Amino acid sequence: MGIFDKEPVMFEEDGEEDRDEEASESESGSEEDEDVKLTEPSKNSIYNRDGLLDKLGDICWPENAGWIHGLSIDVNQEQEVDVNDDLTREAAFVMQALEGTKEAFEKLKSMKINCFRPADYYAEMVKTDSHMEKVKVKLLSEKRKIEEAEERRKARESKKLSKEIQAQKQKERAKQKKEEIESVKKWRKQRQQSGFAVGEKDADMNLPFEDGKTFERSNKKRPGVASGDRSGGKAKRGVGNLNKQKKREFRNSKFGSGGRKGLKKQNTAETTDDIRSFNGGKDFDDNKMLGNVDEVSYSHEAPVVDKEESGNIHHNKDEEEDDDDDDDELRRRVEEFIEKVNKEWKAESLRSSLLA
Amino acid sequence: MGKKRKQIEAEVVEPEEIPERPKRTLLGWKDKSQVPDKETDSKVFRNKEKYIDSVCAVVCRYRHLMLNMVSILPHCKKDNKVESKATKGATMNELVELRSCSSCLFFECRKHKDLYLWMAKCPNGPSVKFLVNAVYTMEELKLTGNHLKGSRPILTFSNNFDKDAHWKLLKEMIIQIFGTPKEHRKSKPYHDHVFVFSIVDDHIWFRNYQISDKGPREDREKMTLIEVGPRFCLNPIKIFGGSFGGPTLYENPFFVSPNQIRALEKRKKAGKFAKKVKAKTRRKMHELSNPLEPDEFADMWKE
Repeated sequence: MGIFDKEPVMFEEDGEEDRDEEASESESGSEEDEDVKLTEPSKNSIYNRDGLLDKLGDICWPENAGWIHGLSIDVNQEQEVDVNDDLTREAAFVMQALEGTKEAFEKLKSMKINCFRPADYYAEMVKTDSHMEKVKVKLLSEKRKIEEAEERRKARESKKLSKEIQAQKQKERAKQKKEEIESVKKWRKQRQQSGFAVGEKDADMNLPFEDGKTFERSNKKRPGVASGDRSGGKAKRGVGNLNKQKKREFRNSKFGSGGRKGLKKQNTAETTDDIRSFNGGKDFDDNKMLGNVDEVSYSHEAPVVDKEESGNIHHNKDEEEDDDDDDDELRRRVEEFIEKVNKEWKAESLRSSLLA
Repeated sequence: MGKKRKQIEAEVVEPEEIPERPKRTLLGWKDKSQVPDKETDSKVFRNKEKYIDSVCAVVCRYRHLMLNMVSILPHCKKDNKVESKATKGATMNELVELRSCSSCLFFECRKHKDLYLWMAKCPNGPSVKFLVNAVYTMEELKLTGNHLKGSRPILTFSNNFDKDAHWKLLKEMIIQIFGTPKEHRKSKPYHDHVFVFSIVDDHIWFRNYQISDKGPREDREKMTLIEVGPRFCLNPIKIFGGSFGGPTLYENPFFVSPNQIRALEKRKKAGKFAKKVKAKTRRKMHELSNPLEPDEFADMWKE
């Protein structure tokens, strides 16, 4: 059977071609995909060219068998296709098919054979309807997925943009307002220039928007009213409000607002050395009492003690160094005051009992 | 009918591109070449009927591929599984003869992993063994193309099939096996799909496209192709002189069997552990041979 003609060298050596990823067609990595190839052709492989040609002669059809029997077309493949590049490889296949069909159809047409089936020719197809339905469902679901992704992306972008847009809008509005005011001013000016009588009617035309700031919120800070408060200060008119605020401030200073408080409340070397806060302990009680009484006097009988009180304050301010004298005088006056109050209270109660 | 016969005559005059050969061994061809006028075409091509079957233990994917092939090749006769492994060649030949076929596609699955495809011309023609790679069946591909079941395909070959003798032989075999015989009783008259056989990287890649005529009928530029499937890639291993046996005419010099590949991988993994053990023992030996000299300051702080 012919000569055994060993020609292993006739293959181009592909060198270090790593074909592990060969045919890794994206989805479904099938296990047969890893295809290792010898880097060099094995030396003892058989290549019997004559035998092959002999066999080819054996099986091939007679020369006079027409092309129509085989329907085979050879297509030039322009350039080498890289196997690992799925896209270009498939494109090459499609190109080959396309060129082949064109050629074949040319031939078929010259033989006057109808290639395309007429629209009303129905017959069994390779893929069943149920299969095509599945394909359709898959396509639709893919499409929907893409659309959803698109929507999400759009929403994200619009969210990002909305802030800018709003800022721009506000700017635009302000600009428009300004322009309007400007135009009105202009119109007034023109009116004046044209000699329109400044009568009484015109007085109420003296609108306050001359300065162009009427419609803007006044920047003047209102005391005790939050910046966003539009109730005209009514929201914060409660009696204990100021007190509360003070309390809050004090607590903030004591405990801090946020952060770690432990360190702030600890004694340090300076605080232990500092004896200012110690007041000997002897007049601590008096002071406390005094304070209390003072407050009471403030709230209850303000008009009675008014003079003395103001004097006292004045006094305090003047001579703060002689604390003891001041204390004595204060005590005396307080006692006086208490006596007075008691007396009055007694009188009142007596009166009421008499009346009763 | 008369018109058709006229056509046949006209075509027969046309020379084929295949290298010339004075004698045919296939009876049908001899008949035809001698008396083309009397023989009807279909009778001649009865010989070309093909036959597919598979050996046991076929994985479902490969079974589906086989069924796909049956559906896209209307001239095939599907047979049952063949069990006998030892006398495969003889059984196959017998079966093919029983079914009065001329060629055979035989799917052979090994180890539930590797699919081999035998392509044989049966009484005494050559046979080829392929390893089938990158198998994707119609079902899993979910491609939108569809074509008539039984329309005759147009076979396109890349021009590197003419590069070498074995490729030429393979091309001829593919034409005879994959081409549906003209006026086969199961075939349909129109041409709406095209097979692509392309040699890339010493493998034969197969694709099946639908030819859709979305454009105007006459304008062939508007013709579009839609893939139908299946896809696979054939790696020729050996070409034998006889059917399922005989002298080896060709051996793929680059081929490594998947078994070897797997073995190599395993060996690599095994080597890792062996290396570790070896390193461990070497370290031990080294420690034993060079003991640490006692430290002079070891007892310094003990008192």
